[in-house]
Amino acid sequence: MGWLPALGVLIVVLGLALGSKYKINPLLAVLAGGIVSGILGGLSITEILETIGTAFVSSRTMILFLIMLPAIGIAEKHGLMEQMKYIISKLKGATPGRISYVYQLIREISVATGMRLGGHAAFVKPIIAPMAEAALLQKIKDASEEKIDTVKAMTAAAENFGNFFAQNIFPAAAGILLIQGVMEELGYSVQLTDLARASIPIGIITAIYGFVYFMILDRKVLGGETQ
Amino acid sequence: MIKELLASKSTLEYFYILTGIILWFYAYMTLKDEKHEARIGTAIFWFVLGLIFVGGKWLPPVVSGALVVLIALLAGLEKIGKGTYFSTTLEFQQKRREELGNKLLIPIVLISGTAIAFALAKLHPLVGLGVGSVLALIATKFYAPKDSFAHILDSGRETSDRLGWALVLPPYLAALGALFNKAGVGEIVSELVKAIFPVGTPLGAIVAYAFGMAIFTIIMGNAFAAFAVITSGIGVPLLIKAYGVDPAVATALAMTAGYCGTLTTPMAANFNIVPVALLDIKDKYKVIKVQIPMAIVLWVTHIILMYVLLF
Repeated sequence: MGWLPALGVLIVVLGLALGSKYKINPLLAVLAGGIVSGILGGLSITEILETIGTAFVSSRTMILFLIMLPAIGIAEKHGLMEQMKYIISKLKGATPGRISYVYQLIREISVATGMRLGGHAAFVKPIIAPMAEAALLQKIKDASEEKIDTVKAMTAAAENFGNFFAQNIFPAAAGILLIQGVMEELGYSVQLTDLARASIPIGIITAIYGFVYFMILDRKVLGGETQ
Repeated sequence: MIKELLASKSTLEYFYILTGIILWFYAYMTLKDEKHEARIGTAIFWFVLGLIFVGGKWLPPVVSGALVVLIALLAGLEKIGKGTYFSTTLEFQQKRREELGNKLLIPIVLISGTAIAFALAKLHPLVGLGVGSVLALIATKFYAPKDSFAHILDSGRETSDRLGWALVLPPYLAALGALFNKAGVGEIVSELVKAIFPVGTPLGAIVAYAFGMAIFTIIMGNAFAAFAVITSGIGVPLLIKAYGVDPAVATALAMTAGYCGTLTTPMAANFNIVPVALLDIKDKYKVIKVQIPMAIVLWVTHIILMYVLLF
């Protein structure tokens, strides 16, 4: 036995790595890896199903946000996105780095307060990336395709920086709920508010690093032509 | 009495049931949606997920496990898809925006405001999220007075359909973590990391924990899946138990150390690869390349922060 259960990890890794090439859905790779690991680890099919069922049922917290989608969705049908665009368009002195950074900050504040406003599809593509690209072309009329791609990637990265490192400040974030659940199984009782408080420093540090990093990227894409 | 109700995790069960009923309504609407690209599969998907939400507490674990495998197969084999929904034109949205202005932010303010208020009052924040969502549904009378309940729920169904399989991936990875854990994968990975790092010192234990989180997240594409494995294998025995440090600080920072790994891996497709497609960028790894310098600096900062805060 010994190292055999690690084969399940290998299956997940291979499944995900080759998934995009052969169109294997990540869920299937995860399912196969989990079942193989369980069998090689000496669990019966019943025990495997019980483990999956128990873990999924206690993880319902992670997708409880479904309950807020109808109210937000109907506000979108009445122009919520238009209002957000209007608010963001009032920001002046735009450069690609500044737009990305401001978006990172907005994203940090929104996730830290538990709002699910944002996302690559809903925000970056329709609003932030076009604004950053327009700001680049304002400064450099014939910007190379590579520079335009860098600017687009900057806005996508801003979404991730803001989303990842501030989300656990919200005391009902999926990440800290998971921490609490896992630690409870390991015999430690940790409070959501303590976990949220412990996540504040890295949120602030990310805000500072983001400022420096996007200013550096600004200089890189705008060259000597900034201001 | 009311305060206890609002502070208790078991109260969440009511909101799970409400969510499940909404999902059953989605299943019903999907069945009626003649132009749905995957009508039957999607209807079963929402019905079964609703069943897990409503009955999770009472169903035998082996039954809910089988149901979870069923919806994973439906989603994984692409038997679910999108339909036709209640929609409005851009002109209508622009006209309504001018009429309503910041009133459109009401649902966001109600939901997050209630959740934050609950957290501050030491009640359960997720119960707050549920209460806020119900309040926001009632408040639709202020910004969408003419829309029927079916219109409102249909707007939720559209977003939920768009999320599709990605919706069940996070809890699914939690289930995978539990399976890996039971099968002893955590021991194997932690033995490897222990063999590499001098874990007998405080700094060595911190580096091993943060490295384990980052590397396993890079492999799995998800820090949630890494967390249970690495924490039970490395974090608890070598750091939290060995030195008696604050478990909340250690685990919270280990989680975001894992997120540093997420920034660098194509396995985290929804964060790093999907945006490349959405934004029409030529280089598939462009977003990752932009993120790597920040990921490295942030990860090193985690080590310093853990050392300073824990010792």
